[in-house]
Amino acid sequence: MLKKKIGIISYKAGNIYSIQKSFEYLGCEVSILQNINNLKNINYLVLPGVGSFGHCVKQLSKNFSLSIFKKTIFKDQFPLLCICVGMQMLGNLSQESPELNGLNIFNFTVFKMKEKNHLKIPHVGWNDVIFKKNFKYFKKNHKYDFYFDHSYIVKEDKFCIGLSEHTEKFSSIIQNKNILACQFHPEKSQENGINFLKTFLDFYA
Amino acid sequence: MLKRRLIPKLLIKNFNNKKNKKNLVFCTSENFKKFRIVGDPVSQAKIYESQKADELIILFCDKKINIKHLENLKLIKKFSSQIFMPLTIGGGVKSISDFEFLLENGADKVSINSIIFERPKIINEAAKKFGSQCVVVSIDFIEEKKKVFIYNNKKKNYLRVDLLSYIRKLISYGAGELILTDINRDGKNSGLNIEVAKLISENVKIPTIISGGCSVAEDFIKCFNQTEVQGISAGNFFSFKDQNPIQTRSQIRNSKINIRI
Repeated sequence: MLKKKIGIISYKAGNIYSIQKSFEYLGCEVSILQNINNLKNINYLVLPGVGSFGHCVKQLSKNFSLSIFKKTIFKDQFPLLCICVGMQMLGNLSQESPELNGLNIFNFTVFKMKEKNHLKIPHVGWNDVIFKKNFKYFKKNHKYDFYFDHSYIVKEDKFCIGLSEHTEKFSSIIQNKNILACQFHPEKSQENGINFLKTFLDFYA
Repeated sequence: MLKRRLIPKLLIKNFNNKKNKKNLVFCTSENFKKFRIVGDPVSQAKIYESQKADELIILFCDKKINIKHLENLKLIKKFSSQIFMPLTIGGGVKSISDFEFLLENGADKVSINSIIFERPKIINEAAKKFGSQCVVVSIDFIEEKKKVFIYNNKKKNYLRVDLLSYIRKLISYGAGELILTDINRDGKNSGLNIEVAKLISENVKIPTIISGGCSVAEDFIKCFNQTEVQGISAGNFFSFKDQNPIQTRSQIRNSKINIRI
């Protein structure tokens, strides 16, 4: 069997090493991409993101042509996995950096989590994701725990396939066509995380 | 619902007397002074991972440490290529470039300690660049005659300030998580400092992790029940006791505390 080839978009925002190692653990060949002009040897794209929305958007647009990025996603239909701020960047705007636009791939705004009672923000640690549909290793309406570390959220919308709740409900997984995005860190979520990455690879096989 | 966390802590020290050669080992401490070698850090981390620890704290605790030293880098990369769980790494972090170095090589969060006394604004800079969620402020304290002092491990002195207002100031700069360690209880099996855990966790908005003094599973249960701490960290407890995280976890679960199965 041919090895699956993963391209991780590297734009100096976050921990791509763990993501790389997780895919290698699953038998994939991983390239770290400094540009996306030539994707001949790539089957899957990963957009990571740790840090502030503003920093990530700035770094991404500095190093990558956003029009080529969009063409790759929409026209060439590359399977894309977006993680944490990578997911948030798919929207229009974020309260974290209101002066900057997101990638406008989905029509959502990223909000700061509301404060509520004694619940702490940032939302750090293991929390349940309830799947709204069967998703390979994950059963509809069942709970699975994943590792989160964030203060900003995407609210529930029609593309949400995984839902979580801290001070309020939010989308922990969104999916539309070739794009899969998660707010948690699959590369840090032990067995469930590995199964999530496998699902991404199998789903778009 | 967000789960409470059990967090083994790995202290890393160089135990090689030969010049220019490092042998980084995992050790435990007593009052952060007496150190005892336990073994290979990555093997130990793998054991914790298989025992379903929620997260790991890795602290390089040699004096005058250069976190970017090649041997440290090798070890950090070994951790992050073999351990698929959240890692908080710290020890000698002094600059934004140290943050960048750790985050690029596998840390999910960076713990800072002595630099906050010299340059607290580093919290602000790091939070702006990397987000508050990865800026972990680690504070060592001691309690004497019912009074709590912050301990500066680098200068070996105490700060006579009010702990809560000091912490609130650091949070206003953008700290995303707190690790509080009671130095007097470190390695002493004397139980966690419930009073301080309660005072801080109930009065701040960010997650608090308490450490120092865990001796039996009951210590975890008591602290989770009586305070709002999000996590409890322990070094000695997980490395020398017969109790591993799985056993501790099931005892905690039996007391109806919300943790991962």
